[in-house]
Amino acid sequence: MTGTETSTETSIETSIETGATETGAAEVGAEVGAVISVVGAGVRIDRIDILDDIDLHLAPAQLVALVGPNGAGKSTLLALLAGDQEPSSGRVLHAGRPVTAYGSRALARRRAVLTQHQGLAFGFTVRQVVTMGRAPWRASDVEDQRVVEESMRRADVDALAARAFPTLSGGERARASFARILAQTTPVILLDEPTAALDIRHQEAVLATARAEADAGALVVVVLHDLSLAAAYADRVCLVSGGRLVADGPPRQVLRADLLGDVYGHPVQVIDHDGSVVVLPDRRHAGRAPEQVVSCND
Amino acid sequence: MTALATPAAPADEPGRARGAAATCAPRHGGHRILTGTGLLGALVVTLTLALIVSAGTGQLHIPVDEVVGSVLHHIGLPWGPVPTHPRGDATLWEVRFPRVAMAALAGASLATAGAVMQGVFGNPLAEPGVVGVSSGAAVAAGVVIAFGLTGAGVWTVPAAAFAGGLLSTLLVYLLSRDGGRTEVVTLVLTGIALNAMTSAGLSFLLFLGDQQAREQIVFWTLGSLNGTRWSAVLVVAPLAALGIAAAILLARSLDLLALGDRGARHVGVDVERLRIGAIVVVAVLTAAAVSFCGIIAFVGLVVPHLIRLLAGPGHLLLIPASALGGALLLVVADLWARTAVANADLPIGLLTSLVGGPFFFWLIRRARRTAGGWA
Repeated sequence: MTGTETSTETSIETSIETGATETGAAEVGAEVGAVISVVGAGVRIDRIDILDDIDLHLAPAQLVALVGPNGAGKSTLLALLAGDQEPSSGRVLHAGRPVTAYGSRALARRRAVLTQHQGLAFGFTVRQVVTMGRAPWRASDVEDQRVVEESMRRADVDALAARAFPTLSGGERARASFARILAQTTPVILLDEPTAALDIRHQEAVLATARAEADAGALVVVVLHDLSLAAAYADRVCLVSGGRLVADGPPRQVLRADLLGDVYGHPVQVIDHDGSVVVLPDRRHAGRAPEQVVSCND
Repeated sequence: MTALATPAAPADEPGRARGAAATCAPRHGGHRILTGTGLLGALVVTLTLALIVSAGTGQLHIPVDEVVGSVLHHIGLPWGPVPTHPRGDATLWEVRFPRVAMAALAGASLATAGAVMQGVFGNPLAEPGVVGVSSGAAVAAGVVIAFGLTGAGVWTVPAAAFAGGLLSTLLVYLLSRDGGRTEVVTLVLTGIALNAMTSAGLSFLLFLGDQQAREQIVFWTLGSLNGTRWSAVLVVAPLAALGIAAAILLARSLDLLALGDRGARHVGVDVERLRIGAIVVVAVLTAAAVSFCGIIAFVGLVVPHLIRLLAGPGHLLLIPASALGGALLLVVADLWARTAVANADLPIGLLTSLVGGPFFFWLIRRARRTAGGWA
């Protein structure tokens, strides 16, 4: 993937642009150059380990896919990265500083978050909602407006600009919220299932835009259920299961039929199709145990 | 009652209302701002007219030009006619002006408190009267009256009302909130429970108090502006001004809070601080209204809702427009309360509930139809 080669250059650019200096990089456990470091972090709620002993160092200019079965802890891991969830053990560092040391505005200038459900209490228009993404910044109105228009165009919601957000369909809301995340212009973008409610065209469009953000120097972390999409767009795939990081690496290394079959508890076919990896549930042997999965790499 | 009916009419058709509001603005660019200034301007003009007409109307009728003339003479401008009736000037300055001023202040406070509460709960049904904050403030103030406490002079009742209002707002907030959001049903049921407790408290105070305290407490639960004095106006005015100014400062953050607690935090809002600030503002404003006027329900529900239909949900416009609209509503309602029945002064709280109750029904039904209407 193209993003990996350019990462060193762009990471320097990003840190200059955003003022994310390496002042705190001396923190123990933080990996040099990492935008976000998760060091031995765990989350324990009601005496149940949601996440356990996670070590994850995320570099800029990468699109990282978080995959795993339902209830594996993907959203909790994303909340940990976002600073929404405090770790019960271990630490989460943004640019070397503990995430808890950031004020809410400073953190909002570092990371934007697309949550799974996008509710809105009142009937603001799409344009107003996208403009909310500009709140952490003190830019001129002209600059804000330029960013908002561009973000709406990139998320393909410019035609909906004057519509009231609560009247939109689920997919339209997801895209409008994605436009708001783009308008926040942060070096870290965290997306929780951005494609869940989208049609094929918009799934591809949203991930292509996320890919472009990563190529431009951002760290993009995406929770995905569609493993083929993860294979097509991610530089790196983190497979989460039972609150642990069970595999972490380039898509072809992680998206293996045997590993996925084990983790998902259902046989899976991994097919190389025209140079891209396609992951399909194996329906030929319904009811067979995962150990008997046949890998089909043409 | 006409002024009350006019803004209510377009409520059935939000589309048309919005179109009508936009006609005075150019097609492009700053149309929202112009619509905003247009709306605020129209409200200021209508409110001024309502204040003048209301001050001139009553058992002793004083023509509009004489009301204006009397005001101008008092501020050192010897223009226009002064009241011709020998007791005209005294009636205006000792009875009518304090009363209409109090109506305007109480209305502005309640409507602003409603707008802030709806913003912080992310729920269009939150209102001091509906969720029991007004009655919470009334119980605390009732204690002061029933036991004849006067520790802080003229400020004793407002201070108690503030404490009661703060306590009940916090209580409603903590009890009706779950997982970062407030379900409509939980909020309304919490209100029912709190209202039940506070009405029991008021009944107990009625039982304990002497004849005079009883009358005062009864007059409160009904809500009335009868017999308002300047001394009371001078206590309420700074509270209302402070509360409304603070609410305007919170406006931008309240907009962002529409994204939900988590969403607002993601765009840089210090949600905890905003929440505490908003709850204190609601308590100050409710205390301002309740201290001397008693429980006047539904103003905070009806007014912000109509303003939202006319001008959209942005709090920077919603809050000042609600303050002006609330003032207008109560001045007109008070005029009606004084004149509807000859030689009788109907309790104003009764009137607002009479109009606000059906409106509440309509709001519930409408919100049930549009699933996206709730937080």
